[in-house]
Amino acid sequence: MNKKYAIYIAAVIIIVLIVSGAFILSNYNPGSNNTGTQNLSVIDDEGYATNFTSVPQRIISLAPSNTQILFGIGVGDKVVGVTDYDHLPYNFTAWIAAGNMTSVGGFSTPNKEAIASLHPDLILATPINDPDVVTLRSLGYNVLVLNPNDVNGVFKDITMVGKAIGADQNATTLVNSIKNKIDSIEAKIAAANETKPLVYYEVWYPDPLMSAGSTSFINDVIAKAGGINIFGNETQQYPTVSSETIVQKNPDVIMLPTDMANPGDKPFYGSVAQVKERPGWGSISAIQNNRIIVVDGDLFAEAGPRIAENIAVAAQAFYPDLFNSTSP
Amino acid sequence: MTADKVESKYSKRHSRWKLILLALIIALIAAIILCLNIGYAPIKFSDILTILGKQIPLLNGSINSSSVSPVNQAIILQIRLPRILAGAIVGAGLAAAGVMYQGVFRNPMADSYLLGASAGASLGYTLTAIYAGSLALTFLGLGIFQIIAFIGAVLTVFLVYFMSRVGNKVPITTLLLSGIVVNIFILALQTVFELRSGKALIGIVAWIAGGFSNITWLDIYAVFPFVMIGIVLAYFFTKDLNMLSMGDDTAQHLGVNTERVRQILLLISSLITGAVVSISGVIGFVGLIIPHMTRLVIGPDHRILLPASAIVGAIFLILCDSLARVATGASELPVGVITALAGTPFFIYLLRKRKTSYSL
Amino acid sequence: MVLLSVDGVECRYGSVKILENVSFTVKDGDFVGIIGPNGSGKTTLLKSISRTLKPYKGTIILDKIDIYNIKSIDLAKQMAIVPQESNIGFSFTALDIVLMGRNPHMKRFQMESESDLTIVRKAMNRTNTWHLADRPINELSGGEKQRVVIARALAQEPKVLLLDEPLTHLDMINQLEIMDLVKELCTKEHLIVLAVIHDLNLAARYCSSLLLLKGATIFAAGSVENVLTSENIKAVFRVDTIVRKSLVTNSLFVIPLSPQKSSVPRNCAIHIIAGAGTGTVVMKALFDEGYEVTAGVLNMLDTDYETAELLKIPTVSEAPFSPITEESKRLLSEMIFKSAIVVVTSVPFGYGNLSNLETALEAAKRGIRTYVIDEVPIESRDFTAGIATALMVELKKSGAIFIKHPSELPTLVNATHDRIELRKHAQSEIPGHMKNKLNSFTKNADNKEVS
Repeated sequence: MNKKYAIYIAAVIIIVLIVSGAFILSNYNPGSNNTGTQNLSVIDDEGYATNFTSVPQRIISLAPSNTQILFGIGVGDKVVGVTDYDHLPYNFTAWIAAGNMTSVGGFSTPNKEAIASLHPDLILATPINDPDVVTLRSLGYNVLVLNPNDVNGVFKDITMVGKAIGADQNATTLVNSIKNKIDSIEAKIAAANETKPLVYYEVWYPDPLMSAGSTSFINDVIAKAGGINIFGNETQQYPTVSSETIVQKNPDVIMLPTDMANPGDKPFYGSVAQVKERPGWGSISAIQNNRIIVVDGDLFAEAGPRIAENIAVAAQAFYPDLFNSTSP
Repeated sequence: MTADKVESKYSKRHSRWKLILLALIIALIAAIILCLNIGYAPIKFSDILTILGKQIPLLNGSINSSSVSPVNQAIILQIRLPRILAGAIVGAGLAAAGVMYQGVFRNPMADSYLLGASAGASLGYTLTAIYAGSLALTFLGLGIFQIIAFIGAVLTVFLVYFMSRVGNKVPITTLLLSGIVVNIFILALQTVFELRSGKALIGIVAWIAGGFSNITWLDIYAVFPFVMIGIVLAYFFTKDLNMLSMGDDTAQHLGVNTERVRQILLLISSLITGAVVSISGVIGFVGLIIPHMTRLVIGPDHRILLPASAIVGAIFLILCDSLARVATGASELPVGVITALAGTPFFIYLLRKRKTSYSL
Repeated sequence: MVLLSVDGVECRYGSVKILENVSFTVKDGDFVGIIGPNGSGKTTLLKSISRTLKPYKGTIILDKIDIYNIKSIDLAKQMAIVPQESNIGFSFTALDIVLMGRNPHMKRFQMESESDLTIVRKAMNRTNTWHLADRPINELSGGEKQRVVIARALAQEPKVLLLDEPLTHLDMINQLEIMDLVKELCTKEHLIVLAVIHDLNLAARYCSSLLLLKGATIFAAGSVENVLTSENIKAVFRVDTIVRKSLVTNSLFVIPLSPQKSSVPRNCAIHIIAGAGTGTVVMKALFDEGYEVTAGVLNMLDTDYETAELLKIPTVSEAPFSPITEESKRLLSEMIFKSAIVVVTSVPFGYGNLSNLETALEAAKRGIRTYVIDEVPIESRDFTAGIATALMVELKKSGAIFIKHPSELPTLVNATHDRIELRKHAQSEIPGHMKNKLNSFTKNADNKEVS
C-alpha cells in the first residue's frame, strides 16, 4: 500500500514537471531583438542595446518627461499611449476621456495588457519601471530606459530618442534650442560676476526632510542657474537632511516645490508663512530677506525638454535684478 | 458491531475527503477559466478557448485560429495566463506553508512570514533595486531580482533557525522570539535602504506590497516545482502534524520524532515561501487566514487540511488578483489590499456561523 | 514475564538533584502506585521512565532492553502514557484520537489497516468509549476524555502503562471507574502499570504495591500493608493519621487527624457514658480540648468503642452482645469516681446497658459534676419500661445538668474546668493548715452548686 502510494505520487510529479516544462519552453519567446537584420542599434541609459529593424510608428511613453521629448521632437502623432500623469504639452486627460489617446496606467504599474493591445514598436521608460522593463523585453517589445541626471543627460536622451525614431534632425534642433537658452542665461550670469547665492531646494518635508544631492538633475539646474546647492556635496541623489544642517549652512535662497498633482502657488507642504516659522529657521538669511521661491513642482520634478525653463526660473530667483520676471 | 462498522465509518471519511478535493479542483479550474475572461483588453470567450486549445498538442490540428489576432493571443498566453497560474501557485504555496507553520508552532496566529522570509526577500529586492537594478541581469532567464529575493528569504530563515538552536533542540518559543527580533532588525535595515533608494523607492514599495504584474513563464517554471513538490512531501508528514497538535510530549510518546519533523516541515514551508515571495512580493492574509477558513469548514485533520487549504488559497488569490487587475481602469491596486479587504468579512462570517465555539 | 528495572536513577535540573538513587523492579501484572508529597519527585520519576527527562545517572531496562538506547518509536510500541490532563483544543473525533495510538506500529506512508482498526475497536470497547467515536474530543466531559486517552494508550498495545495523576480533574464516580478499568487491564492484559496518585485511599485500594517517595528518593517500597503505615505517613507527609482496614472494600484506608491539637493538655479527667455512636463527636471534641477522656462501658462492636480505640481513650469494654457484667460495672465505678466530670449522652437504654445509668447516678450523688445530653427525650429511648426514665429524674434531682445539644458541652465543661482551676490556684495561696479546711468546705459548696 505504501509503495504504491509513493510511486503514484512520484509519477504525478514527473508528469506535471514534464508537461509544464514543455508548455512553458514552447512559449518562451526570447524577444525579437535578435532576429532579423541588424539595422540600427541604440544603447539606452542603462547600457542595454536595442536593435531596430524598422522605424517605430507606434510609441508608448511611461513617463511625462519622455512624452515631452517625443512631442518636442515632433513625433507626437506617433504616440499611442501615455500615463495617467501626463498633461503636457497637451491635456492628455481630456484626450483619453475623448478616446483619442490611451492611458496605460500609473507610474509604477503600467498595464501590460493595455500596452499589448496598442501593439507598440517602441516604449520609453524610466528606471522606476525596471522590473516591468524586463518583462516587456521578454515579451518582445523594444524598450529604451531614459535616466537623465543632469542637463547633458537630457541632451543625450533627446538625441538617443531622435536616433531611434529616425528624427535625428529634429532632435538636434531641439537640443540646440535648449542649449542656446541655457547658454545665454549662463553668459548673463557670468558677465554680472556677482557672488553666487547659496540655495536650498526642498524635495520633501517633513518626514523625512529631503534635499537634492550632487547626482540629481536639480543640482545641475541650480548650478547652471548660477547658484550653489548647499547639499551639492552629498553623493546621494536625494539625501535625508536635518534642520540643523540647513540652518547652519544658511542658504540665501530657499526653493519650495508645489504639489505635483495640484500645482498652484503654494508649496506642497503648508505655506510660505509656515516655513518661515519653523523652529530655528528664523536666522536663515533666505527667510530674513524673504527670498523664498515657490516653484512648479511638476516642472522641477522632471528632467525633460523644459529644463531650460527650470533654469530660467531658478536664475530669476537667484539674480532677480538680472532677469526681469517672465513667468515660467 | 464488528470491525466492518469501523471500517465503514472510516472509509466514509476517506471518500468524503476525496469528494472535497475533487470539488475544489473543479472550482480551481473554473476560477482559472473565469479569470481568463477578466482583464483590460476585451477578448471573446470563444477566442480564449481557441487560443488555449491551440496549445494542447493533440487538438492543435483541428482548431482554426485564424480569426484570433496575434495581439490577443499574446495577451492571453503571455500576460494573463501566467498571472493567473502564478496566482494559483503562490496562493497554494502560501496557504500550505501557513498550515505547516501553524501546525509546527501550534499557534493560530502563525503564518510563514514568522521567521523572516518576507523581511529577507524584501531586503534582497531592495538591495538589488538600488545597486543592480539597471543591470537587467538574468540567470538562466530568471531575473536577478527574484533570485536575490529568494536567497534573502531562505538565508533569513536559516539564520533565525540556527540562532535558536540549543544543543540539538530548537525550542518553539525561542524560535518565535528569534523570528520577531530578526524581523525587526531587517525591517530597520530595510528602512535605511529605502531612504537611500531615490527613484527606485516607488518600485520597491510597490513590489513589497505584492503583485503579479511582472510574471513571466520562467518565473512559473522556477517556482512551481518548489510549491508542488513541497506540498507533496509535506503531505507525508500530515499524520505527524496531527499528533504534534496534541502537544510535544504526547506526540513523542506516540513515536513522533518531533524535532526532526519540525525541522523538515520548517525547511519545506520556508523554501516554498521564499520561492513564492520572490515572484509575487509579500502578500499577506493568505497564509494566516486561509488555513483557518478551511479548518472551519473541513476540520482539523491535516491529511485533508493541507491539500484543501492549498487549493482554497489558489482560488482565493486568483480571484483577488483579477479584482486587483480591473478595479481601477488601467492602473492596478496592490493585491495584498484586496486579499485583506475581501477576505476579512468572509472570515468573520464563517466564524460567526459556526455554532460550536471555535477553538483552534 | 516482562520486567521493568529502574536502577540507580538520578535526575537533575541543572545541578539540583530532583531524583536520587531510585531503584526498583516491577513485573507484568503489577499495579504500582507512586505516592508522596508535593516535590518528592513522583512526576520526575515518571518522566524519566517515559523518556521525557533523561536521567543524569542510572539505567531503565524494559524487557532486557535499555529504553534510552532505542528509537522513540520503538519505545512507543511498548510503553504508553496517560497524562494528567488532555487539553486537546482541536475538534478531532474520539476515533481519530484513539487511531493515533496505532502510529508507533505503522510505517510512515501507511494508512491504517483493518487489523489496526480492529485493535482500536477493541480498545474503545474495553474503555466503554465506542459510543463516543464520532464525537469531537473537545466536547467530551473530563471522564470521557480521560477514558478516550486510555483507549489510545491501549491501542498502542503497550507492555507498560504510565499514568500521571490521572484522577485529578475527575469526579468521584469517574475516579472509581478509571481505577477499576486500569486495574482490570493490568491483570487481564498483563500490563505493568505505574501510576502517580495523590489520593492515598485510592492508591491503597487498587494498587498491588506502592512506592513512597520523599525528598527525591524512595522512602519505602513494597506491598500496600508494608508501606502505608501511620509511621511512614507521619515521616513523609508530616500528618498524624490512623490507618485502618475497611471490611467493605478489604483495603486500607487512611484517616488524617487534624494537624492541630489543642493548646495545653488539661489535667482533668472526664468520663463519657455513651453508645450506639452518640458519643463519638463528644469524645473527639473533648479529646481535642485536651481533657483526659475515658469511656465505658461500651460494647466491643459499638461505633463509640471504635472511636475510643482510635483515639486511644481508656475504655471499659464488654464482650459483644453481652449485657454489662458486675465486673464491668465495678471497673466502671473505679474509673468514674476518679473523674472530675461525667457526661451521659443521648444513648438509648435497654436492660443491657442500664447499669451505666445506675453508675452515673451514683457518681452524681457523690458530687461528681454530671452532664446529661438530652438531645433526644428519654422517653423515646427508654427500652426498660420506664426504669431509665425514672433514673433520669433521679439524676436531675441529684444535681445533674441537662443540656439540649452536644455542641454546648465543650464550652460548659471548659467554664467549669476553669473555675476548678481558679479555685485550686486560690487555694495554693492559703497557709497549709487552713487548706484542708477549705478543701472540704469548697467541695461541699460545689455539690450544692447549680449551673
